[in-house]
Amino acid sequence: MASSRKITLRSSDGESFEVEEAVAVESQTIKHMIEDDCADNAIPLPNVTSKILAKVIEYCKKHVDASKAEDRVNDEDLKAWDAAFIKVDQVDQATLFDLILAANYLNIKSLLDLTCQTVADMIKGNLFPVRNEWLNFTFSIANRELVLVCLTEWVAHRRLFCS
Amino acid sequence: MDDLISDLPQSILESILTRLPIRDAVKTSILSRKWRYKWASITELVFDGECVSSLHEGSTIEGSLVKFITRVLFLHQGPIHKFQVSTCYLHSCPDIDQWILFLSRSSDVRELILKLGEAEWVRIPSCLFSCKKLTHLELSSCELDPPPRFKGFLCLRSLSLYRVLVAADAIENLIWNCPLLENLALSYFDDSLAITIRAPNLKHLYLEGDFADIFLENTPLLCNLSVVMYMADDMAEQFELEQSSNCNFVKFLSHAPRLESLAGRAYFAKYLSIGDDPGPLSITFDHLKIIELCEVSFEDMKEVLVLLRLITSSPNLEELRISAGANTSPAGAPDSLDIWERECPADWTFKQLKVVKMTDVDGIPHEMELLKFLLGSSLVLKTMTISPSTYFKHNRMDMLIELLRFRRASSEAEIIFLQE
Repeated sequence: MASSRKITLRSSDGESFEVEEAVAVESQTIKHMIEDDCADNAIPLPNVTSKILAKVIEYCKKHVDASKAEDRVNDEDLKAWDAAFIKVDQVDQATLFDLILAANYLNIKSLLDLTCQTVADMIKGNLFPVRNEWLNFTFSIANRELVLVCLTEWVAHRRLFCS
Repeated sequence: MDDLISDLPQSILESILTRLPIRDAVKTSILSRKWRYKWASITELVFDGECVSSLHEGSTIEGSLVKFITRVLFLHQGPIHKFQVSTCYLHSCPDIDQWILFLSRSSDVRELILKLGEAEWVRIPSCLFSCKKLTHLELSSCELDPPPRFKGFLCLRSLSLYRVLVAADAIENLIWNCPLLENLALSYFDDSLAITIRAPNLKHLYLEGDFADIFLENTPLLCNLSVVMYMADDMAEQFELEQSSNCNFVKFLSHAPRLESLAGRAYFAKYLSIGDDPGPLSITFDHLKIIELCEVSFEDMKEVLVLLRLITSSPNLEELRISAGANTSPAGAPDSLDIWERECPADWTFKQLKVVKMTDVDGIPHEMELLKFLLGSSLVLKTMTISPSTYFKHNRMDMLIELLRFRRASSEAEIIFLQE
C-alpha cells in the first residue's frame, strides 16, 4: 500500500472527506477497517456528523504533520495548538461532547485524552450543569451546601403540604 | 442549559473522573441519583497532596485522610488498577495493612505507590507479595520482608525503592525474580548497600545514596544509567584495603555494552576508580552517546585514568559533560602527564562528539590535557563550553593562553569561556 494513498470517509449526513491514509489511521477503528479490507469505497461513519468529522480530521492532520516534521515540532507548541483547538468547544459544549464521542468511536487515544482532560478541568472549574431529578434546576459539584439546603427545604415543604 | 455530561458512556465518564482529584470525583455522587455511583468504578485511586488540602479544619489531617481512604475503598466497586497514597501527612498506621490486604484480595492492582511521611517506616505486610499483576511498584519509607518462597512479580516492569529497609539478598532475589523488570530505582538505603544486580531486561537504572558495593552482573540491555553516589574520603580508603584487585569500573560497566547514557553525580568517578586499573578495556560502548560526570578529581591519577578509559571506549560519544572536583593546589599534580599519550589509543578520534561542557575548571595540568585531547581528536566538535571555578582566579589568563594554542580537529569548534 503506497503511503500517500487517499481514503474517503463519509459522515452520517452524507458528506465525503478525502484524507491521506497516514491521517486516517490515527483512528484505530479506521485502521482496522483498512486492514480488514473494508476500505475500497468510502468508509461510512454513521456516528459522526460532517461538522465533527471535519474537526477530527483537522486534529489528526496536525498531529501527523507534527511528527513528520524535520526537527520534530516542539512538544510545547503542539500542546499550545491543542489548547487553542479545544478552547472554542469549551464555549460550545455540545461540540465538545460530540468530539468526545467521536474520539471514542473512532478510537483516537490522544484526542480522547485531550477532550476528557478538558472536561475534567471544566468540572473542577464548575462549568457543567447536571440535572438533578428532584430539583428542577442544574447545579455543579461545588454547591454541596446549596443542595443540602434545598433538599431540606423540599422535604420540609412536602411534609407541610403533602401529608 | 442542557445536561450533556450525564449521558456519556460509563467508560468515558470514568476516564474523565479519573482525571479529577479524587475528592472531586467522589463529590459527584451528590449531583443526582444517576451520579451516585458513577465515581465508584474508576480504576485509579490517587490520594495525594491535593486530597489533603481540602480537609475539614479541627480534625487531625491524618485521621481524616485515613477515614476518607478507607471509605473510598469500602464504597468502591470493580477492579482497582492503580492505588497511590503519596503524602507526608500519613505515617505508619494499621489501616495501611488493611488497605494492602484489600487490594491483594482482588489482586487486580497493577500500580501501587506508597510514599509516606519520613518519620517512621511502614512495615509492608506480606500480602503485598500476592499481588500477581503488579507492573509498577513504588515504595518509600517502608520496611520490606519478602516471604522466603516468594517467586517474584512476573509482570513487574518498574520498581522504585526510596529509603526502604530490606536485606541485600532479599532485594537481589526480588530483582532477579522479576523477569520483565525494565526500570529500577534504588535510593537511600539505610545501611550502605552491597548488591549484585541481575536483571536481563533492565533498561533504566537509577541509584542514589551511599552504596558499599554494586556489581552489575547481568544487565545486557541497560541503556540509561544514572548514579548519585556519596562517599566520604575515609570510605574510599577502606575500600582500597578491602578489595585490592577487583576494579569497580569493571564491576560496574563491563556488563552493560548497550549503554546509551551515563550520568555519574557526586563521587561516582571516585567510586569507579577504586581497585586496580584494568588496562585498556576489552569492551566498547558503541551506543554510548552522553556521558556526564561530576566531581571528577583531576589531581587523582586513578580518576583521570577512569575518565580516559571511559571516553576512549565510547567511539560514538556525542555529548560530554564534566564538572571538576575542588583542587587542593592551583598547580595540581603535574606528574604522569604522559598517561595521556601512553594510555590513549593511537590516532584516536571522536567522530560524533559535538558538545563538550566542563565546569569548575581550575586549569591544572590534567584538566588542560583533557581539553587538549578532546580538541585534537573531535572531528565534528561544535561547542566546548568552559566555566572556570571561582577559586584560583589568577590562573585564568594562563588557562586561556594555553587553550588558544591547542590544535583543533574540527574547523567548526567554538570555545565558549563563561565568566560568572
